[in-house]
Amino acid sequence: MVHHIAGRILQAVVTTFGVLTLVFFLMRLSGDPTLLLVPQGASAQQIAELRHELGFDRPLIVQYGVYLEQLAHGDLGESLVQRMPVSSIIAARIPYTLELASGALLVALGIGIPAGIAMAVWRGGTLERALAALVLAGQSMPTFWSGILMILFFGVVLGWLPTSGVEGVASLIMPSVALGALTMAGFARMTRIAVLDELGRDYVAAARARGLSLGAVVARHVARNAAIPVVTVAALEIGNLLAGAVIVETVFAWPGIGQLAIQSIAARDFLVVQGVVLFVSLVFIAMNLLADLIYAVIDPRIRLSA
Amino acid sequence: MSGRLTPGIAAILGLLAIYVLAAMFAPWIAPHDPLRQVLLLRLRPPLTSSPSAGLFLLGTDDVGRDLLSRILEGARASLIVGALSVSVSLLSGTIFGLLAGWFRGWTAVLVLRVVDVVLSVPAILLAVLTVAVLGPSFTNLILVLGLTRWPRYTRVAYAQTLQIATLPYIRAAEMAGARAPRILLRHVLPNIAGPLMVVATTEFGLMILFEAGLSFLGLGIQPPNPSWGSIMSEGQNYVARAWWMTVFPGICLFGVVLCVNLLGDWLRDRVDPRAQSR
Amino acid sequence: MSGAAMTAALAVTDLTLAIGGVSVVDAVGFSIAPGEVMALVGESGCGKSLTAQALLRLLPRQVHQIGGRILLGGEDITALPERRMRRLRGSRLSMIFQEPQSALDPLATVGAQVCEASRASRNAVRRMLAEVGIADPDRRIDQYPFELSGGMCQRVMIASALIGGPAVLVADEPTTALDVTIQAQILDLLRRLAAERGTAIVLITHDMGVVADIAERVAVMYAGRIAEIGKTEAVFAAPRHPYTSLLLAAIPRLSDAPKSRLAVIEGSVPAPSDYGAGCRFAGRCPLADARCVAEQPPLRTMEEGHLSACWHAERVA
Repeated sequence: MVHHIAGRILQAVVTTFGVLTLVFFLMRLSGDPTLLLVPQGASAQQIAELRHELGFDRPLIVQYGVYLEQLAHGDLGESLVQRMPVSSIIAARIPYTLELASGALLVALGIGIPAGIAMAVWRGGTLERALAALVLAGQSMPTFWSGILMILFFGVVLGWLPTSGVEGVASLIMPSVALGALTMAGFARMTRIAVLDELGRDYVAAARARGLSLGAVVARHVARNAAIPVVTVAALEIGNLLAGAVIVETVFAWPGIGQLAIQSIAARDFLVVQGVVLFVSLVFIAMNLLADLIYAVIDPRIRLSA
Repeated sequence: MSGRLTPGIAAILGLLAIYVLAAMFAPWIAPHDPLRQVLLLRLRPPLTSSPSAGLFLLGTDDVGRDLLSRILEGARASLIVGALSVSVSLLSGTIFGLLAGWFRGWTAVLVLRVVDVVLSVPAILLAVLTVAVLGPSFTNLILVLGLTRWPRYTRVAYAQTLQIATLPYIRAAEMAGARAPRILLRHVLPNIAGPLMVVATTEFGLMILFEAGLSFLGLGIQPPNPSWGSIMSEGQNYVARAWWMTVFPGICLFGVVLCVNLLGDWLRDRVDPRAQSR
Repeated sequence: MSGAAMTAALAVTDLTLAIGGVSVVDAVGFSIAPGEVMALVGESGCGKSLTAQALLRLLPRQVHQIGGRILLGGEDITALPERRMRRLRGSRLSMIFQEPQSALDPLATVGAQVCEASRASRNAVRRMLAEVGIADPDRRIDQYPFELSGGMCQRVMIASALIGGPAVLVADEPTTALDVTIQAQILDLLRRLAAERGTAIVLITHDMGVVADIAERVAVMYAGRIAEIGKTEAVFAAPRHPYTSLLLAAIPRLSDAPKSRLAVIEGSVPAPSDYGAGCRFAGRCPLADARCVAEQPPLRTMEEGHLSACWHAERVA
């Protein structure tokens, strides 16, 4: 197992380098990055000064080296618009996005997994068909639309929930549901397939032949076997949730890093945008690695190997 | 592969056909000019009729533009963006996957690592950053969407090519002296086309959603040109007063994506029964 | 049918199973005395596995029992509520399966699965593992199925099936997936344990060799019905049904002349939807006549304890 884990960690490191490099080159796609960062109407001399100050006039290789070194120290540069380190700007907003992502994950797991199990165990009934339709709807519905519809219905028409902003737990409900809907649909589908797969296996019949009830078999044996693919996906979904947060936070005016990214584009604060992209990508890679590690621990076939 | 066309699938294909036709002929069938503002008729509900300006079947937006015409024009934009971006990513992704699966060794390692890297950056953020840097133009939009999605095709093409490359008749062709490009084009490609088409179908739906999302954020199709996403973004400001601005484009978007997803599922069941979602 | 004076460990009468409207197992009946090994033999698709599953009332969703009774030690369990049936499974009636490694949960230890429903103590499980011939039970009890060979997994299955002390064990092709050498060991084990504990065994198999090895009585099934039933020795020595006769002839023997052709039964098993009104073997039977095609032959007693469902039973060589 150690060998396996070491291999995965190495992969993650390599991928991280790749992402850092990708972002580095993306920022220079339009040529001189100084032009992105400079305020409107700056004179040619001011641009040249800024270019020199930021080090964009040095050879590309040197810039790359500086870039990597700064990142190693957690330095994401300083925002020219807000005159603050990018890392602090992002750090201030992270808790909100974390809150939102947690709420969404709760919704997704809490509704998705039981729905998937129910669909598999009560296969063929009206319940399964109703749930399947809901799952399909969840996967096809654009997040911003469901968000706006919820605001319209629960906020404006019914007046039960606040229509935007952060005002206590009530305001977390709609954004969490909007963000979690897609993931929930995915979890339900996965759980259903995994459970169906397991139910068809011999060990289920053998366990029942030993006198276990179907419920006990599902709880004690099927759940763990079916969990393997679902858990793997769950860790990955956190990355997707962070990405989806960009839209949901915009719809609900939720002050997280997603909204930050969009606001920063409008404000031409591209270093902040770069910072958000780097941060989310690294979290994504970390989550992938976590999923791999969890998998390695759950499945004894890997755990007990070299 | 059975040739059964159930009424369900026929209905879906019918709806998609309506979408495609409406989108393609939008400039001719739209009752009004989607860009024409009639400020006296701002935020009017559906079925508003005015003697001078005519019938506004789905109502008007915040500057008096006909919603139906804008939705039609938006359908056109989404269709073009969807089709073009899928083409770009399908082409580039398949080529990379083919090469990786055929030559294996370092080529495969390199391609797969790059795939890993691109997939590690959530697509929307990749799109956001690229559009931010390059500026929001139509071409850039297509490029960005294509750039973020090609790995999906590469993985499928790679796995399929690996399988096919070991088949006896491929080795036979190699030994008969056929050169790699010829083999790849004439023998490998037709065989991997099936699963790739399944991916392309679901990707098409995703591209439409994606474009709508980017336009919603102001990074896609730029005003005054309409996109379902940007209409809904404008509509959110008036959601209490003019629900039609968000509901109708949303229904269209939801409907098209739903049909495409169902079509993709159906295709997958027929192309590769082992991968059925049951 | 066995004529035993004491209560049969298991008695099945007129068991009929159907999928949709089509019957796939028709009026199957037999009884087994305590400690006896009875084989249920037939080709793939003859319904023997479904019959086995019906005994434990663990039929797949689409299959329904539409007729017949199952008596376990004299008690009618045909319509027993599921909750009470569960208590019987594992304790009075158990089953072992064909693929030993897939019949065990790959994520649970062997020991945990053996003691699961029976709630036996760890010691009892250890002893049971030793009894079924697993060396070093202390180590094996905490191992996972993938660490054991196919033969060992089957021993584990037998242990978990017998630890509750059941009166009847249903063995569905227990040796089909195993090496021939291991096969013999497992069969020996089964025979020994049955005798020691007085457990009756219903052995499902398609292999006449296995039947000859450990079964005291045999029921030959064809297309969902019992063709012949009786003591193994009697049936093998003097079969009273053309199908049995052909099955026995098809076994290759060392005494066969080298390069002689393998005897085969021409034709193939009819599908359930194609069953006619007459004998289902008529299409492939060398003795078939017009009556065979028109009328279904009932099971008739030939000698004591030996029955056959054939109009021409007396003429079978």
